[in-house]
Amino acid sequence: MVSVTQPVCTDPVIANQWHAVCATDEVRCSVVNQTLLLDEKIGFTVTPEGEYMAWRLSAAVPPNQAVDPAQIHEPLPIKVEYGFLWVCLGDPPEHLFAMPEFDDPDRRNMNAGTLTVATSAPRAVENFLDLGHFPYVHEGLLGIEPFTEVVDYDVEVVDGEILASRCDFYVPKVGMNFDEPGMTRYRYRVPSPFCVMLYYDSALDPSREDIVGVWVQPMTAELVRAHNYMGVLDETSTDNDIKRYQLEIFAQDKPILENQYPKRLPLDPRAETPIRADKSGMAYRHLLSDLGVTYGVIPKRS
Amino acid sequence: MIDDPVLVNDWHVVARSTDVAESAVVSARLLDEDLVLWRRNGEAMAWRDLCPHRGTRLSLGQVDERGLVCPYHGWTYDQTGTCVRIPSRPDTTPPARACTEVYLVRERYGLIWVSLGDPKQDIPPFREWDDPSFRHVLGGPYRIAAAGPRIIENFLDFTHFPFVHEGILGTRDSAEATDYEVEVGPDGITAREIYTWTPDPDGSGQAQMAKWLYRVLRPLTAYIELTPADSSSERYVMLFSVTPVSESESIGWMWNLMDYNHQMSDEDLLAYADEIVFQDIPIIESQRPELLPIDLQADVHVKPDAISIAYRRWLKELGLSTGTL
Repeated sequence: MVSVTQPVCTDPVIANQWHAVCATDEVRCSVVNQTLLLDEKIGFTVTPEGEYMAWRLSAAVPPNQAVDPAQIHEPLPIKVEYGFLWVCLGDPPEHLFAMPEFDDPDRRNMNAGTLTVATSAPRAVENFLDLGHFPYVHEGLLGIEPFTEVVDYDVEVVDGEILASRCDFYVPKVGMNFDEPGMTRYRYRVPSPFCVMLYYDSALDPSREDIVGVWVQPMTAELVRAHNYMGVLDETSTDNDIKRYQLEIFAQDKPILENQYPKRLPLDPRAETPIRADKSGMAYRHLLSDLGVTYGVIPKRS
Repeated sequence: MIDDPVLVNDWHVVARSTDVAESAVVSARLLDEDLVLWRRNGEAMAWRDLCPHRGTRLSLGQVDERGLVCPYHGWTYDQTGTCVRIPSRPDTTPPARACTEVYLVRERYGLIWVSLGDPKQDIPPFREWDDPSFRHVLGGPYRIAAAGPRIIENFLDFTHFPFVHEGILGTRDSAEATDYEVEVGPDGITAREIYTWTPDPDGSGQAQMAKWLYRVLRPLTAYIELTPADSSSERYVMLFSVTPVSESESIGWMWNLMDYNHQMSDEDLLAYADEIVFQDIPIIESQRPELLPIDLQADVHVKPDAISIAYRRWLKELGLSTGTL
């Protein structure tokens, strides 16, 4: 049975999306796990048989409360994909976006940690798309002065997804198993409004790519949990080292994001001061505007 | 920003000059506006705390040889608030829109004063400041969860001395207030010849009949001159300015200048002044309504409240709307 309760979120585009709420390896078995999604309290769990469930909670429950199947009148639609539990509060699309690389036998698909950030989901996504901040916010890791230039790159929208390519930037340490600084070619992908992905040539096999994904869970319009996925070809680093590197980078973004004003992303292209280096961010604002997204944004005045 | 032309077009203290050292970057808030304060080549700047590129707080940034550098993308603003460098596009001239909102700054009395608008008058006068016979001790910043006019009205009120400052500024057996004259002129309000029996008017512990002169210089800045009743050779003067952070949050700054009592240390004078202010704060924060009623029907007044009445009337005449009812 599918939920008949209407979502609190009045933005149908966002209410009808799949949103990651937890890495599957962090869902505690047989007890109520709880979180906030689009201003609604939701519970979720996994049975000893490995069956996942999610439902609306009328109120917060004490920690470690056992799941009472009788209270689950209206299970929410869920998906278990890419190592995460995805929930929809409205009417979900049949499929989540495709990531065929996930099935590579030698790829290390990892839950690289979750961070709570007091900002809107679109601000978090736009920050992830941005190269220009690397030498300032991630100095010594993803960028370093004087290598600050963002050369022109390509942005296109294909089947509703933003794809940015030929994003070349000088990066001191792309990932855990990268030892030499150098020019790196990134590709970006926005496969759904609050999910964003980064691809770059793998250190182990430059004909293939490592992937970093951020699935932004909108708890409220100005509070998110950012779930970090990594799918890398790396035979030397430990899981902990890979995860720590990713979280270190995200922790550097957090104070910047939390101090931005306004917290909601302005969609009017005249609201802030874009430059050519912001082409992917501008495409993202444009896409949200075209989709009619209102959650976590300041819509363009019509 | 709070839309009150009287306060927007006035000067307000946002920091001590020493709080903003050379190359330092500091944040402040005035009339609901977030400010970044910074200093280069000795000059203090106060801007809206916002990089126009991506809405980032410039107060998280730093100063380099070109100017103030945004922490997010390194956009760099010179002392006029014009963006002179966009590192991701090093060969491009920054767009004309890439400039910050710059506010007027003046430094006086060791304080940084900012106006968010177009001030019609100078920073309030403080003649004793340049008189070398006075020592200077700054009290504050005092953070007070109250509207600015409530705080100034408390500063002007001497009838609370026996109750709030018992044993320091008053005693309950001599609570009766004398009559006094209040003059209202274009430069504010003056009340003279106010006498109180004061157990310890200056931290020296010497009880005496004290004579008070009050001046209201601006809506949120006032002055006191305190002398012995029978002489004006020993002067303790105070300049008290209240920063309206928001309508209901304020910061008080009080200069204590004294030309006698030299054996007392600055620390002891500050401790004396602090004790009095810390007795006032809970009273002021308890007042309801939180905003000062300037409709004189609203509160019960007695004759010794003449200065308060004049203050409320003057605020009404000026058209002050923030912090008042």
